[in-house]
Amino acid sequence: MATYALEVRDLHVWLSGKEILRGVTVRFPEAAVTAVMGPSGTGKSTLLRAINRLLDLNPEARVEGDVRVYGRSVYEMEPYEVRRIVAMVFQEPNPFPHLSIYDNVAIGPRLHGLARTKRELDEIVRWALEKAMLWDEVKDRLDSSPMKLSGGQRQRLSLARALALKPRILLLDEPTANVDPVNAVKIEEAIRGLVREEGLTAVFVTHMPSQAVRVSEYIVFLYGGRVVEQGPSREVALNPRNPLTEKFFRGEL
Amino acid sequence: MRGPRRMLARKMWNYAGLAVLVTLAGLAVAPLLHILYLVALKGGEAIARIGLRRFLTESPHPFDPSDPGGIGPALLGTLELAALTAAGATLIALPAAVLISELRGSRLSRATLLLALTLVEFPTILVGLTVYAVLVDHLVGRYNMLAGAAALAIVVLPYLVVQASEALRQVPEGVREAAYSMGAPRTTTVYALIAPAARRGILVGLLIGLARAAGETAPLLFTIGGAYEGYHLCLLREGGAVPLMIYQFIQMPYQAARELAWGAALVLMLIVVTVMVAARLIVREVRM
Ligand SMILES: Nc1ncnc2c1ncn2[C@@H]1O[C@H](COP(=O)(O)OP(=O)(O)OP(=O)(O)O)[C@@H](O)[C@H]1O
Ligand SMILES: [Mg+2]
Repeated sequence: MATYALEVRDLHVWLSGKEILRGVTVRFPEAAVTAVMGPSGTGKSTLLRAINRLLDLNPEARVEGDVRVYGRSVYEMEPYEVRRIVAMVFQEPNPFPHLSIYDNVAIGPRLHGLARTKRELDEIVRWALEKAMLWDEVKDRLDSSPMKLSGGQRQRLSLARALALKPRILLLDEPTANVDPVNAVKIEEAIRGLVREEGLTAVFVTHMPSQAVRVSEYIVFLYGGRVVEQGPSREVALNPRNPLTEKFFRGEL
Repeated sequence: MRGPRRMLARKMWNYAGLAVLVTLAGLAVAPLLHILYLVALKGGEAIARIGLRRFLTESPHPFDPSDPGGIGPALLGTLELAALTAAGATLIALPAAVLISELRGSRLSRATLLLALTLVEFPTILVGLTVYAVLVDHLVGRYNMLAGAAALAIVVLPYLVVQASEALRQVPEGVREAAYSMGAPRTTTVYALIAPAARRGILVGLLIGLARAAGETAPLLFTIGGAYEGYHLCLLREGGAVPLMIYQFIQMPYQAARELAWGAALVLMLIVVTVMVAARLIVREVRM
């Protein structure tokens, strides 16, 4: 039986008084990619932000229910502790514009004292950039600004920055929505590699069925703030049990 | 027939309107140009006669028409006050600005912003008076540079708070979320990642605030005492500053004192213009 890195139990989220998540219960198996799918506005980003407690920043947000990371409730941890174990990559590439490429990746290890020497820091930076499949493209210009990179490179830099935290879980909110197909493939490969080689657990939000099948072991289908269907990717994609899922996969939702 | 004529009439109206606008703009700008011209002329004359180097480094001899000396100690005083003001104001303004921008929507944030906006318009003579009562009269017992810096810092503070909170607010939401997702405690996140992302905007606010402070006279009137003999950096003693020197020397019935005042005015103008231009350049880089 699979063990679970992450469990969401009967999670309700209200934003500005409107109930966005209406009792979501879902488990994310360790060392696997779970794709979270669903039409626009159905609460996928909200789910991710509830998991790493980024919703705490929104004074209009109210949360009920529980999220457990390796058995520990995130609501009994400090929010920043959660975010170190559960790193996030956003839909828009968002490197820190005032830091160099190197410093963007190094900032996490520096904040958390993960490296004792400059060499150790260099190694983490290199490791993270390699895992994000960006090293070869930036190794000669680590000191330049990330704003000179292409959109897809910036997104891989955002991934490297998240990886440098040495997280156990990665939340990916449509990480390829704003990048070209070549970069999208690189990001998918990077995620697969991390899961295979580092045993990371990934939650991959996407609304492209083809991508979900390529990249994930499991699919969770959200609709109207509820989990409508979940299971192994092929099963969900090929034989959806719920008519809504089927409609979505036919591109009609 | 009617078409072209109407067009002509409309053209005439346009030109008339343009002429009125140009005249009004000229009327608005004329006094400013006159000030610049007068200061450049009289100050330039004075400095040319004394010699730039002497003028910037000597102590003043306001009673000696053959050798008026210079504004050295006052200039040093102004730089000293600027440095202290910058340090003091930033130290207090930054946390206040962080509070306004990072606790957005909270009552505390709104109240702080409102207070800062109100204080921007506060009469600076009252600030000077209050600092006089506390720091000069009560605590130190004599005029002192620290009191001057405190008064200037209070004058600049609300302006800097407003500017810095605006700069923080303009950090894109994506960058802010990324900062918080780095897993550091909130205060660390703000000071290590969000404030640095806004540093140019904050610097511009500080520069413009300092340019304003450099020309302020009222907060210095009864705080620093206006002493221009010899250099010193002691904070608890009387000192000088360029605007106060202008104010005091221009009223003296001596030729040398007036020359010093005009020369000092030109120097002050150049300092302020330089800082303002620097601020503009930084702003322009931010936009790119
Ligand atoms: N601050 C907020 N206040 C109120 N409602 C909000 C707020 N933020 C988001 N919402 C609403 O919450 C719902 C869910 O948003 P969410 O971003 O989680 O959807 P999503 O599934 O990620 O959609 P997409 O595929 O477009 O990214 C949307 O209907 C949105 O309008
Ligand atoms: Mg979303």
